[in-house]
Amino acid sequence: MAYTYSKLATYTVGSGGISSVSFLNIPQDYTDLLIKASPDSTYTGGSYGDGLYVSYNNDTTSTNYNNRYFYAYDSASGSGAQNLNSVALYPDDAATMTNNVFGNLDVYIPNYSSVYTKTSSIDFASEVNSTTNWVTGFFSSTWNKPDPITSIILAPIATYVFKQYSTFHLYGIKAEL
Amino acid sequence: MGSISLKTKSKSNNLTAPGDVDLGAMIPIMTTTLATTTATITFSAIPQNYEHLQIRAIGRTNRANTTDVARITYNGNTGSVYSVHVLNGDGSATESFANTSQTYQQLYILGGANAGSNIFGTFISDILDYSNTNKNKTIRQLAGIDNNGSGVVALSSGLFQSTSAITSITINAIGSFVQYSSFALYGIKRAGA
Repeated sequence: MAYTYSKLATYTVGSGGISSVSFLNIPQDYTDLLIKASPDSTYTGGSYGDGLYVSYNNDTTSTNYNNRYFYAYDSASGSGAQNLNSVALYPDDAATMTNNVFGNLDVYIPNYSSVYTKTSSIDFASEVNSTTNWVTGFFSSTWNKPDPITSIILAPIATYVFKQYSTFHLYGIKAEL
Repeated sequence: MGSISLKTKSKSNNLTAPGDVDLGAMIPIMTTTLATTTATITFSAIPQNYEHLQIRAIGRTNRANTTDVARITYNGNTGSVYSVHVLNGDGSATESFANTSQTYQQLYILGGANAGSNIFGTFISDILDYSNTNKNKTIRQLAGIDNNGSGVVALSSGLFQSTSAITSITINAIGSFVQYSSFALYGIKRAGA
């Protein structure tokens, strides 16, 4: 087997929700990291879902993050760029959303322990039982710091929470030498 | 804020928190490679002790198209409970479309009989929290076929409006899948499992 997954940590949101999820003291002996997440948010302002904010090593300075994205929604597609650590969309509590539907997304972070700028790739699905107000797409995200990633914080937009039953899983992937 | 602080064993340098960690959290559950033309692939009696499922497939059908689709149902449910949302690119243009209240989840992309000889399409589908009875099920899929001059790449998402745990997956061709098409089901464990 050329590559192996290791299950590092799982967080399932309990009753009442939670404002963020943190993976701390991430070991440095893997090659890549993978986050699989199935979140839902209490945010009501996003008719296509809420943004997933991903911060490394407690760095929440938006200018330290860049991303480019390509996405489809309704019957259109688009592409853009931003200085922000919001890297995916997933269902929220806007009136356009379908109840009890959660997102499905991967955040892949190669060479997370290197001393170079970190680049990650994200693919996401914000599902809804409708031909409108759905969005699915990709992000390529850069964190402009040379520091090894030792912690990751995942959060919805400020003042809202991840809803009960949202799940977040961190895996380590090791290149077999 | 919820947080998980990871610990390391001093001797083996293996993680111990929040649960025992083993190498190989992605486990092959079932695999089939077709010896003959077959219309339907079924993964049944899927164990419930994983967190996620992943289907990895290469496929080709006998329909007279360059590209083709597969129609997936879960738990034998053929009610109007499926939605699919698709972003396609063919090398020069993008396309976006949606289908709702379907009796199957039509996902892309496989090779059809008009694709070049022995060219198969491929897809990877992620089904998160498949055994969670509090959630409707959301599926995300990457797929593509390159026919040496034509082809399609797609990112799709699907909704299965059921909170039941997924215990079986049926993959139907509109025609049939041809010999050497291969379908593999993996389970991905959660920490502590």
